[in-house]
Amino acid sequence: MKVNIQHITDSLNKIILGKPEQIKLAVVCLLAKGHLLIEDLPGMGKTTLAHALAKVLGLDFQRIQFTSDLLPGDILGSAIYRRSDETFKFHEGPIFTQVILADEVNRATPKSQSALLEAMEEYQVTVDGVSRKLPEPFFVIATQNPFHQIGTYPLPESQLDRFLIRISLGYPAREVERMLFTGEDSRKLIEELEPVITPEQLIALQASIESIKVSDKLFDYLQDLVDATRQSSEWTHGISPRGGLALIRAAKAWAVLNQRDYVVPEDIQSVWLGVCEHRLLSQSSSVGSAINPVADILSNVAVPR
Amino acid sequence: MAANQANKLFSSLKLKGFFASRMPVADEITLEQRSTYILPTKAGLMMFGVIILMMVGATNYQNNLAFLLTFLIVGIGLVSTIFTFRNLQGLAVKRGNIDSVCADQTLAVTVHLNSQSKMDHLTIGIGFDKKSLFYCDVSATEGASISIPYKTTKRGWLSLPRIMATSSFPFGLLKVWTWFKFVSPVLIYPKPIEPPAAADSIGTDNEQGDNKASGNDDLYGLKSYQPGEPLSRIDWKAHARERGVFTKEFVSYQSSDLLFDWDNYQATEPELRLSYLTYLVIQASHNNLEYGLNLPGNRVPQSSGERHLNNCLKALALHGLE
Amino acid sequence: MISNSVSAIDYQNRPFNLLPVLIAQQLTLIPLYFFIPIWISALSIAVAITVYFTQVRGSWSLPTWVKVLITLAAAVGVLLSFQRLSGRDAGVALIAVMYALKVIEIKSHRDIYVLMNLGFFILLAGFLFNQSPLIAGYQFVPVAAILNALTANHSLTQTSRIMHRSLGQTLKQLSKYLLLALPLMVVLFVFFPRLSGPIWKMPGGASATSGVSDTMSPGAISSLQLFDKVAFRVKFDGREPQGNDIYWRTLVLDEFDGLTWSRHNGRFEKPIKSITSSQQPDGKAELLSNENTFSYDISLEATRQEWLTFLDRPIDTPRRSRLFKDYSVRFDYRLVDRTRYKGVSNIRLPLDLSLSDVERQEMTAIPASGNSRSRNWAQETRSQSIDDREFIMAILRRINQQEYFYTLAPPIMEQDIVDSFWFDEQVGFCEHYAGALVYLARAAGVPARVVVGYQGAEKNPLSNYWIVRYANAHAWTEIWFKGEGWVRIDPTAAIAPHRVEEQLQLDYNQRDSLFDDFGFAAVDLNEISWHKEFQYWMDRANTGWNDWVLDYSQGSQKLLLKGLGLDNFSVKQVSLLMISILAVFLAVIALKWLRQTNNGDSIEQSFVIMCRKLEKANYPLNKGEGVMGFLSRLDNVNSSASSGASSNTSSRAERINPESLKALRRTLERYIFLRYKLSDITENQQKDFRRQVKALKIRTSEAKPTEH
Repeated sequence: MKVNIQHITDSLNKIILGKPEQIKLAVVCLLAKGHLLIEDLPGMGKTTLAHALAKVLGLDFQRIQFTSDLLPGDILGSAIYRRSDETFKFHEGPIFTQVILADEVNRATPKSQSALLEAMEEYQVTVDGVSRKLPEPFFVIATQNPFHQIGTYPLPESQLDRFLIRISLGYPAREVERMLFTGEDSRKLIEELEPVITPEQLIALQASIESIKVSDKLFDYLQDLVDATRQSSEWTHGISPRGGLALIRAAKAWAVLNQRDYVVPEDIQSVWLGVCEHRLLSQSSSVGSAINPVADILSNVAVPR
Repeated sequence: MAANQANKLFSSLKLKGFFASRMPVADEITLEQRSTYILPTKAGLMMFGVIILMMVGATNYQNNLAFLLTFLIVGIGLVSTIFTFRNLQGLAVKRGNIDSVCADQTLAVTVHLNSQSKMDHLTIGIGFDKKSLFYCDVSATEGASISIPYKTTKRGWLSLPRIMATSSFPFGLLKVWTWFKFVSPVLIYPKPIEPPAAADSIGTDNEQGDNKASGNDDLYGLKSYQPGEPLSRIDWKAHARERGVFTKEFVSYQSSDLLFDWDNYQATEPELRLSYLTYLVIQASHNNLEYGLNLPGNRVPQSSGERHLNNCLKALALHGLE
Repeated sequence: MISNSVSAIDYQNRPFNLLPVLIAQQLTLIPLYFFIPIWISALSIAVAITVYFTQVRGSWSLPTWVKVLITLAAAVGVLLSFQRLSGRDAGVALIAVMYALKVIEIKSHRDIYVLMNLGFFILLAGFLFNQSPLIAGYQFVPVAAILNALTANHSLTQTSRIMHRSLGQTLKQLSKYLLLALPLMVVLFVFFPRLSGPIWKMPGGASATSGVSDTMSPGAISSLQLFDKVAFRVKFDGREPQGNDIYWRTLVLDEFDGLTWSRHNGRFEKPIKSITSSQQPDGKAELLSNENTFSYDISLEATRQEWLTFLDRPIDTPRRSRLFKDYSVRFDYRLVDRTRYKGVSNIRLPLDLSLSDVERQEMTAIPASGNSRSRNWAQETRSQSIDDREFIMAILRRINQQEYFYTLAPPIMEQDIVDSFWFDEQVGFCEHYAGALVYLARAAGVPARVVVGYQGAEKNPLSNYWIVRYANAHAWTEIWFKGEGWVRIDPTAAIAPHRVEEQLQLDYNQRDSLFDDFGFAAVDLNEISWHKEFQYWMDRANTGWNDWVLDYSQGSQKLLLKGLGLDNFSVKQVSLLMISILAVFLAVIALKWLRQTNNGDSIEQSFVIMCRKLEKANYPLNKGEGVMGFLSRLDNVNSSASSGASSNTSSRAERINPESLKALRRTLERYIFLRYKLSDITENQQKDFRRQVKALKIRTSEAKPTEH
């Protein structure tokens, strides 16, 4: 089991160069049965990451490009009348897959967005009153543009909450970028990727997260952190209880990734930004500011000894 | 230690006063025995008197059980000093968020109390002086928060006076108390006073602020309504024409721009001017108008919303003080 | 977010928590209920119940005049019951009824404090009636109840967690207070300086009854009441001694502190073997057949003491009793029943023909100061006498020829009692004479001691046994003469018969009937059954209670301090010692608790120690830094330093020497394991970790290498 996880990150690191932390977070998100939001500019390798992830895990992969004219039916599928036997036959949409990349999710209308988000939450879709189960494991990677350009519909915070982790890849470092230019085409590399884990193993791995030990001291720490966000004037609202739960799950997954069966404060610290940043709505407009108040919390809240 | 840290933060805070309000200064103090005082209460003195009487009685009757009882009570008295001390020990007080208010209004100073000792701290009194205490129980697991009123007098940064924490639990025979002080100051806005000709000054300064020549970009700026957006931004006209619900995001001010200008009240003294402006700003915000503020050396461009209001009030509060 | 808080005014006006107060009040009164008139008990309970139910319904108050009326009515009731309001019983009944009625006028929290504080006083009053261990143990119950009432009324009523505590939790908390106060109580009880007598004199206090006790303070007794009660009955086997030889020996008092004669060494001396059991068989037979040897059965009435009485100079003692060197006999238990035993005595038995230096010194010891006239007189008289015997005879002559009277109502003598008796008052009873004689003899260097017991007996005309009454109690002396050993001298007998006052002439006709408790022993010492033994054992516990609790006095305090080797301590020093013990005790608890409150559990305490070490080594742990993060930081710094880039890192920290780095890493990993992996940490693991941390030494590379 342990080896498997190591393989996943190793393989991914070969495709996405110089972003080991983000890759780890992406895998953690997957292990914790959460959905991933990648917020980045176009061309940063979002799609590559999603595709590679699906390939390494040996899962089916579908990609939906969200546009302003995308309809919910385009995602979920629709019933089509068949002349031959005079019945409606349901044609599954692209969502019936294990890994789905929802590209530029903020370009679609809220209606289409919510169709996806419902599926993420319920693990099933309802079309024409019939509920249909989605395959297992089901993992959504959504990407969105960080700057709300004209004609986009940014996800409201209530829906942002559905994503366990948000990462942004950012520009590669200079030497890494050089390797990117000189190296092989990543698409080709993905083609060559071999799955390192079976879906059954993945499900078992996800189940094993539950048994990770979280000590009382750790819950103390977690609550201290969450309280700090609530008592700060930085944000209108602090981390919700759901956010706290997400934090625990992600921390457990991080512990598994580091081959431990118990959580330490560093696990929480590692996933802190990924889990919390998109859940905290800043009051100030300090987007470009050097101070990251979410990260500040970590250095201001003492780790219980 | 916490106080030291707060001190450090405070000095850096002075350097960049602009960040003061957004700096989550953790004014956290754990009460320790060093600065804790203890004295008997009236009930304690009464018990002391009773003990003396019992001692006399016991000696007089040469009754050893009476001696035992007396000494038991003396023992309880002595032990209760520790219990009473412990009730205040290991209590962490933390400055909560304190919303700024205008001068002459009452500030609600929030104090978060937490038990660092894994035990309940019962009947803790918190207050600025011993006559106006507020009592609460601090549970070991949940802690407690208490809000104590403070009457403000003048605008600017208010450094909170020292606060008393006291307890005479469990028996009310002894009273322990200690003082602590939160380091981060609270911003007090000027007292709002209605200017004599308020109506005149509103709405006449539109030529000043209207530098956003983007009035014909309406179509581009209309957006589908997203749940959670302020209702004031919805284009109700469009909605009435059954075009759907849209939000006006980029352009189209509803009324002419407001700019509250320091120079509007030439003849009055500075403090009164600030009070007038404060009144106008609060009124404008209350009516969901967009407004700006022009103070000597400090100009706040037109905008609206809570944050904008706070910025304006802060500028008014600190005018001439920094 | 803001919890329920209560403002100062609301707090002052917080509602009463009446139930605990009423419970405490009733528990306090319960011991008194047995001793005060039943109507007061009934009234008290009725008032408490009424007040409780009316308060539950809503606030309720009586007009002042009604309260005054009720109070007056109660006082009148007490007056009618006792015919007076002063005196112990009526006084206690009065304060009990006032205390019971106090609850109807609880208007403020102050009233509750008054009521509860008065409760302590009520408890104290209960001890005037009953001082059994049971009642003493019971006092913890009302004290706890009072504490509970104080706590309950001190809390925030609506929001208080105290109110929601279960009974068990409450009891646990209360017992915590009491258990901690208990050692303080014991220390205070033992060391608190005691006065030797009452501060003011209580009416009806200090008269003595005749009978034998184990101390003798003739100066303190102003009237001796003669009891006609039977002390014991004797039946002789065969021959009976003559009147002049009938001295019943109980105890020897050989230590004098200026006021009181008492038994030397008291509890700690060793018994000797009785003569019959130690002598050779033939010598024994000879002794038994001696004409001066008498054997007899004694049926001793309960004395509530351990001392057995024998015809002077017992030579054989019953089982379970021990003969001491001064020929007093102690039984293993206190005599709580009429007891029968066999005695063999030789009335001419020579005692201690030789005296060791130590004994001689003890038997001539008198207080270094006081009674200087007697001392001088004795020494002068002795120097004018040929030998010791002549000297003693001179003393007896003086008693006989000068104006010495016998009385049962002697004046109180407070200091220099021998001087004032011998030269000024010249009146007294046997104790005065015996005490004075021994003092004078000792002052002149002649070994002497007081013997207490009974003298004389009357033959029951209807039967063959003799009766000895309390009125026969007597004190005489034994003087040691060279070659003769201890010789009995009875100075009281030297008084001229016409100077023995008249009231001594007892009217035998008015005595209790001779036959009211006719018959011999209820318990035979030679045949003690197991249940009797249990009774004795119980009684022994009771004796301990009496000796160490009820009778603990200035004297026992001195004895105890002596036992602790503190006999040279002044009152001031003992007080200082007491205060220091109290202070140390409180400090220990305080330190333990405060450390607990500040530092949490053991692992955390250990970790704090480690943090201090790290700080010293210039590797402080940051506030928001976990141990694992610290470990990787440690590795970074130390590896970068080794590659010579240490100047780049702004931290001034030197490299940690590899040995200690290893140990540090082990400790930190252990911490992670204990803190985050384990659910339950055992005591041992905590201790081990503490040891590991304590042993940890963090050396930087510039420090000296480790010592090996």
